[in-house]
Amino acid sequence: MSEIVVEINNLVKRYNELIALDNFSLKIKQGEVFGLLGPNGSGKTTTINCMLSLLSYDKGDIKIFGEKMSPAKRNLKAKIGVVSQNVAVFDELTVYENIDYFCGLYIKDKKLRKKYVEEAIDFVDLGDFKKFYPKKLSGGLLRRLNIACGIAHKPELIVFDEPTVAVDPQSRNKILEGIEELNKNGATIIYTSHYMEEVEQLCNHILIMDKGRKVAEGTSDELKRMIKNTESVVVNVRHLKEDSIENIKKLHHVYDVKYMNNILTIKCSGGKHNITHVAEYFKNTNLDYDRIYSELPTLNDVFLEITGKELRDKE
Amino acid sequence: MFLNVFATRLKINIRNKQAIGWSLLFSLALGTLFYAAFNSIYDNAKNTCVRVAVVESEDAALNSEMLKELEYEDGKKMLEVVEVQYDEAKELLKKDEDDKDKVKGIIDIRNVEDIKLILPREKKIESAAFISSGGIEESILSSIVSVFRQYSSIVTETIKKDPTKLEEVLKSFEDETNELVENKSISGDNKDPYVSYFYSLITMMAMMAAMAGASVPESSQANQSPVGARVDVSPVNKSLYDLAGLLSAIVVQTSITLIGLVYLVFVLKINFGGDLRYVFLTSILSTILGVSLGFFIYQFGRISKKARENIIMTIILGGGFLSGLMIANMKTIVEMKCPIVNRINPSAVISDAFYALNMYGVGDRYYKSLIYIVGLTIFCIISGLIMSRRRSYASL
Ligand SMILES: Nc1ncnc2c1ncn2[C@@H]1O[C@H](COP(=O)(O)OP(=O)(O)O)[C@@H](O)[C@H]1O
Ligand SMILES: [Mg+2]
Repeated sequence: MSEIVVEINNLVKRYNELIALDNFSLKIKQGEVFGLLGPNGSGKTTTINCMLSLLSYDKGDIKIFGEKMSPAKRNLKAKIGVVSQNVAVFDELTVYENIDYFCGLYIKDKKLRKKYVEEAIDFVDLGDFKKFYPKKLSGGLLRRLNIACGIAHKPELIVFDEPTVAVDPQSRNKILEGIEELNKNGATIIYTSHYMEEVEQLCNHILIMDKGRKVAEGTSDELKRMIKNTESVVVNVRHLKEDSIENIKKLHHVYDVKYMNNILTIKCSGGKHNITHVAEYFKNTNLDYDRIYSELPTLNDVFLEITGKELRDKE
Repeated sequence: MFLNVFATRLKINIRNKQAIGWSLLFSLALGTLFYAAFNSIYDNAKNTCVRVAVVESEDAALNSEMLKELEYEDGKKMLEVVEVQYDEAKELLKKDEDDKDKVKGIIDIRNVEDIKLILPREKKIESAAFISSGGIEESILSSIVSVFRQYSSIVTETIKKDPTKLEEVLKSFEDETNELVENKSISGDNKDPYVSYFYSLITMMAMMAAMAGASVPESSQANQSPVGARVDVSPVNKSLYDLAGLLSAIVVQTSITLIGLVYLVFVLKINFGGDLRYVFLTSILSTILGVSLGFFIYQFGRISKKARENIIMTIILGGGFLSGLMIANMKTIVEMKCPIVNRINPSAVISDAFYALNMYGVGDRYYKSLIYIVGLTIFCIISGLIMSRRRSYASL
């Protein structure tokens, strides 16, 4: 039986008229990498800030390590690490000094702190930049510094709020690998993002939220099993006639067909050889196509099917 | 934790070159500017020959000859005397500043018992940030007339009893006038009107230090900055954390004030009049008040950043205005209309301490002002620390 590290029950948070969190609940088990996935404005950051007692809330209760969380709970705060959405460092301090300063808010012992700071620097691979001031760092390096400042004190529970926004792919992979490593070393992770690929890759438990409410929850596979769609067959084809589309719709296991910009998307539910069936149809009707391939459902499909809208605008 | 925070915040403050640069530039540049401006006035005023109308009567024992004779040490005449009738003198006094017939005052010696000095009424000495040269000329005139009054009777007596001694009496009159004009009214006596501008400068510097105080809560509250959020999620004792930040801001700002003051005193050689040790003491305490004030105001986390900025600027500039940093007799007006403002307006409290030191020296009045400064400081710090305790915010 694994222990519950974070428990949020029926949380309601209003910003004046706007209901940012609407009876939102979640449970995070020890050792999990818990993904909070939702489009921009769905309430991820609000959830995190309420959980950390930075924000006051209207209703509900929040327990961390089994204890009710409040602004004065210094014993709980000591066990948490936070990597916030906004980079939070002092421009007047170097990379090393920043990490040392924030680590110093948790770790009093100087020797131990020095060791932890060095480890954090190695961890985010900023060894060559120790003496750099934040202004001189690229976006990706700055994010890594932000992470180092949040995790240097080796917390048991670490919150990452969209740590990869506006980060180059190289730094992004580095960050994701780092989070996996932290988890392997025993930390429980909360990871919020609006990038489904990241969440899918990283998290072993995912909660999808929208408009301050839970949409669905489970492992990636569990979530995908919740929906009708099991496979999409995509065909790049020009000048497809209306009656062909109607005929394809009648194929076995097909439940939805869309044709836009010379791309035909065929959604299937169940069935094992859907792509073969489609290819055969094209062959039999002497229709030419450029490419045909099969796509497995993504979390975006899950989100789309449940909420009726895309998880995020195409970037 | 405390020492680490204190030392690091000190480092941060010192490395914040922009803020330090502005504060230093403000004090050094403005000080130099004042110095240059007033010095040229000093130079112009020194050995100024004042054009004055003298009204005398035919039969009076006293005449304008004595006044015509007055000379500075370098042989320049003190007065350019125009002998006219009273009505004509009035006309000359009313003429425009750039009219060559214009006189700066009228000395009416028709009645020996009652020698009058008439100055243009609407103009008051020290009435604006810029002191017109008229102020100097008028003070030369009043110095001369005050000595002249004392001597007129002696002169009258002398003429009656032993006219041969007249020259001797005249000479002593001249010497005394000379001394009075050169020392009392122009160069740095305690009552020098110019030194008050340097006191205003220090008051302003102290109030500007509020910005440094403001940066303490600004970087320790989640709703004021991302770094503040980091501090708020950490297990530190917030009041202790803020106290460390406050102390470092005080150390840095006090150093800036001291640098500015040393520059004024030892480089520009401004004569501050009062006991220098107390000038330094007052400046340091004032700076601490300024820092504490900013610290206090920025602890009000619930009001918006814009509102906080407006409040602090209002207190610095509006308070400065009411305390007479821009218009000299403003403080007196406030004292009559609404005295409580002068007790709690930090600029007024500070400038009052300098005023007391300058006018009355170290004494009850000065100590009372210091107590106000220290009292306000303690109020700001304690209320600020109480407010700094942990809380959640309605919005970040
Ligand atoms: N300080 C605030 N004042 C008013 N509304 C806010 C504030 N912060 C967030 N919101 C609103 O609350 C909703 C949730 O925001 P947020 O938690 O930041 O979403 P996410 O992190 O998922 O992008 C959004 O509609 C946002 O506009
Ligand atoms: Mg967010």
